[in-house]
Amino acid sequence: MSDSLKIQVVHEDDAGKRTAVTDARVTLVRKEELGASVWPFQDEPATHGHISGGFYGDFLGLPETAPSPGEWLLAVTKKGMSPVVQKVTFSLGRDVLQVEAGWGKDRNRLSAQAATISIANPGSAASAGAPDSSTINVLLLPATHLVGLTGIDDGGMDFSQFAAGRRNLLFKQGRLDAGTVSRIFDSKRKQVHITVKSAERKASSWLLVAVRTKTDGKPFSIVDFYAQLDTRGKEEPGSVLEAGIFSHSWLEGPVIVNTPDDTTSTTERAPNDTDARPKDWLVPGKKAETPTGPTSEGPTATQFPSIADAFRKPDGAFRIWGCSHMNNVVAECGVANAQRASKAPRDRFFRVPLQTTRGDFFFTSGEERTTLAHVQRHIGRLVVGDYFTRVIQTDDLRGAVMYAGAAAQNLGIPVFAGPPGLGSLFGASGGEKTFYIDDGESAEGGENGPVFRWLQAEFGDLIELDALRFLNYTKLKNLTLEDPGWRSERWCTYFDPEQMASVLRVASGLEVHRRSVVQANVGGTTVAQPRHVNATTHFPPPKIGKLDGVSGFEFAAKDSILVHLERRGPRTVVVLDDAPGRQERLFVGDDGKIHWLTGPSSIPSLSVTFLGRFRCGAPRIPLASITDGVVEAAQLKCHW
Amino acid sequence: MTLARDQRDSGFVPGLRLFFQNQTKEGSSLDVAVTTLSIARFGTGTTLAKPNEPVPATFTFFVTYVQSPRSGQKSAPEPFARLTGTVSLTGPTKTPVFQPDVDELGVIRPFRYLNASGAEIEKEKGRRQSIRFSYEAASFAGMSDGDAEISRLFLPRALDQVARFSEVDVRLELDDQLEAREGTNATLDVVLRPELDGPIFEWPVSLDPEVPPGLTLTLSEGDKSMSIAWTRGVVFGAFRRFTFHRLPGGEPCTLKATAKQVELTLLLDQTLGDPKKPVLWQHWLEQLLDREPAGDLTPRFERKSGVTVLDV
Repeated sequence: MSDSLKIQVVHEDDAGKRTAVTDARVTLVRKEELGASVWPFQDEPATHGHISGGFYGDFLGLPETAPSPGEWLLAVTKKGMSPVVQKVTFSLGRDVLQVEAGWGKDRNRLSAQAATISIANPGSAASAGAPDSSTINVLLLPATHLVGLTGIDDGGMDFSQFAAGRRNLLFKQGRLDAGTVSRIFDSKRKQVHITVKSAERKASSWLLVAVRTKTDGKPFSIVDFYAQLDTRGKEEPGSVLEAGIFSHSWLEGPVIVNTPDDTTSTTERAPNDTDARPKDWLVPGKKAETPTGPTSEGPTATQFPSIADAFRKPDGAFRIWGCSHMNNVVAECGVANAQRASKAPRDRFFRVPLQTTRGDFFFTSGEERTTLAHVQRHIGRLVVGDYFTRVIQTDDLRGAVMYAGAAAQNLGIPVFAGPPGLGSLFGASGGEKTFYIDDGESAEGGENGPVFRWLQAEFGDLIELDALRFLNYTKLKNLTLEDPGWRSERWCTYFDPEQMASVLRVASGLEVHRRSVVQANVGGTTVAQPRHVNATTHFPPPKIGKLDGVSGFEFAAKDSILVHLERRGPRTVVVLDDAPGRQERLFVGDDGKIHWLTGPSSIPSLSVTFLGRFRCGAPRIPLASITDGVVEAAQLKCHW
Repeated sequence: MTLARDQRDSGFVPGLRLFFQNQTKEGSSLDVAVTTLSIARFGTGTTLAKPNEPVPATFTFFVTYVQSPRSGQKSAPEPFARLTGTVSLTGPTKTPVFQPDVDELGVIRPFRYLNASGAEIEKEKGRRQSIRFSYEAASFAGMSDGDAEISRLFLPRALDQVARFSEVDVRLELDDQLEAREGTNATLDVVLRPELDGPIFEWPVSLDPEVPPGLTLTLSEGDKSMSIAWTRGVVFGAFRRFTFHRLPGGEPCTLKATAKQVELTLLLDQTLGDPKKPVLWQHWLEQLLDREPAGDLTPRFERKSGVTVLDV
């Protein structure tokens, strides 16, 4: 009777031609005997061997392996191919073992049948009016994977619906085949949901083949995502069609749980940090800049060296679905577009008022003095820059590379994320939930328009947007940045809530921090919190001047007194404190020297310990005091 | 056989009669009807049955083939099955009760088919049409609906391939005398299905809602071919069956599926029925199922995402 069951395994080539597979691993095991085996049941012994023409027979010949009525599991695998696992129910027909997909209440439902399975029963004229065999046809296709990671939203949004929506849309578009394995790392549920397409036509009908629940009680981390991609890269290179992170995001990358980057290392990840960091993409052996100086280490990339190998070439893509929102970029593009329209020279300075967010409110935090060339360089460095550092949210004025840019540099495969500066919205496309970038023409995305126009005007053919207007950062990988050279009038002021300070940043990258703190009672404890101010009130626009015959710009810091000067790796930060009625002044010369004009005669200079992010602190080690007033002598080049 | 009373040749004749009462059709598509059988008395004192005394009884089932109801062309009634037992009139109302014959083990003797052996019937169960019987308990003692041997009456195979309908009729004999001849009992009309011999294919009925409209399967063998629309497939439990009865099936066959001007070759020159060489499927029927279209890909706003996530 079991002879009437035929298992046929075929492969389909790109042209749609099907050929017999003679070396598949075929296991047919009774449901009760599965034990602790898990999908794709590779630990179960093979029960069927190839006979001929892609047909597999029960080579063990044992009563317990011979198919008989009841619920069974068929697992067909072959290296390099997507596994096919199907629950089947056998029942006794006349002389034939009949087979139906599914178990229990799901029996004989297409939703319980894998799209890589077909059941068709043939019979000859001599078979007495009924089929003489039941055939399970199995289609093995080259292994393809979809990997998704969802973040946690404090507002209760379930990001897994976007991951599922993306999966469904890709299937509708024909980008996924019948065998594609979808893994969604669901942070909200602390589970990995592994699905394959069901035989049902409906794009949202997927077979849940495995649920892996995290047993350590910890939430998922971006590292789990990297590890999965690395495994795919090692075991099935070229198999990942898309890996996406469905979460809130900012220019440092996707926020999975929203954990701090609490490490003093500028290259290593903090052990309990779940979120993405640009430093994850530091390339081992390639020089990069960090707040503590140059490095050529890339510990995360060293730990997961096969991530890039995981992706199918050339269309496999890494996707960051959340925001790339940056207020300063939106503001810069708006003003720069007007300058371009007025045919302003590329090196003519103009002013960009800066706004940032405090909670749900915008406030003016400072302003930037820049040129068209500087804007091009500044936004370009978000993509192709080599400075891996902590940035403030939601601005970057320190020349840091974005997470998406860093990933594009490292992976070399298409990396799609929101264009620099733009937020991502919740929406729908093709009937499925999706993140998308507004075109800038609607009320929801009105600020996007100037950025899109600027990107097209400045980067032209290098701008590749997908249908949802996410930008392919990799296409910008070889972007040529303008070099405006040393310009003493390049500066900006902004408020840094993390430093709790108004900041003046001058052409060399030297920053002057004037603390702005308010003491707040939090749970009975007095806690210092940032007092948000417009930094321009502390650092008004400079005056043109000369010092010892050298032209430059003289900056003033009102109601302030210099406390000390810190050497933070290659960076210099001058720390000021409140001093009503006093005024500190510095001069940025065209010769690259930055003079402190207001004394004291000996400025204490300290080497400070990097605390992580952009913070520094004790122990502060005294360096030689500055006695000539020159706090920095910068190279005559563009520094940020 | 002798006629007990000549007067039964004309007009109303009192006596026992067998009645069919059709129910809602259910079960396999080859069960052409589900019918409840009951026995009733017409008139009084004219039956060969006796109060509280079993009298040998034989139901002989006849089939008449009807080429077309309009033309009225019918074949001669052909007896094809018998059921034997005894009948007695029981109780104060003298209700006729049929008690089937049993063998030495007490098992009810099934229908005896007149032109086919039991083995042949068993072998052809899959392609013979049948009437599923339910027995009224008051008329039939100890005859359970669940007894497969007596709950399904298999019809002869309509070999002429012309008849589309048939009538099933019954003759009742008591003690070897005619109690009710054919034509005096109720007659069951049966719509005949085509002759079900030939290459066969089945697919799960779960495909029904998914297959494209107009899906047709065409099997070719040599210079002959036959097409069957998906909807004409006969449902057997979990499967929809397609029998290409006009083809002999002995030579290599090619099976194609066509829908919406798309033709897919499922089998190419495959010989059916060779246990050592199962058929090799070129394509699957499922490949004709369209993917759900993506529709309008223009993204539209549903809800603003948060932009103020502070990593502190």
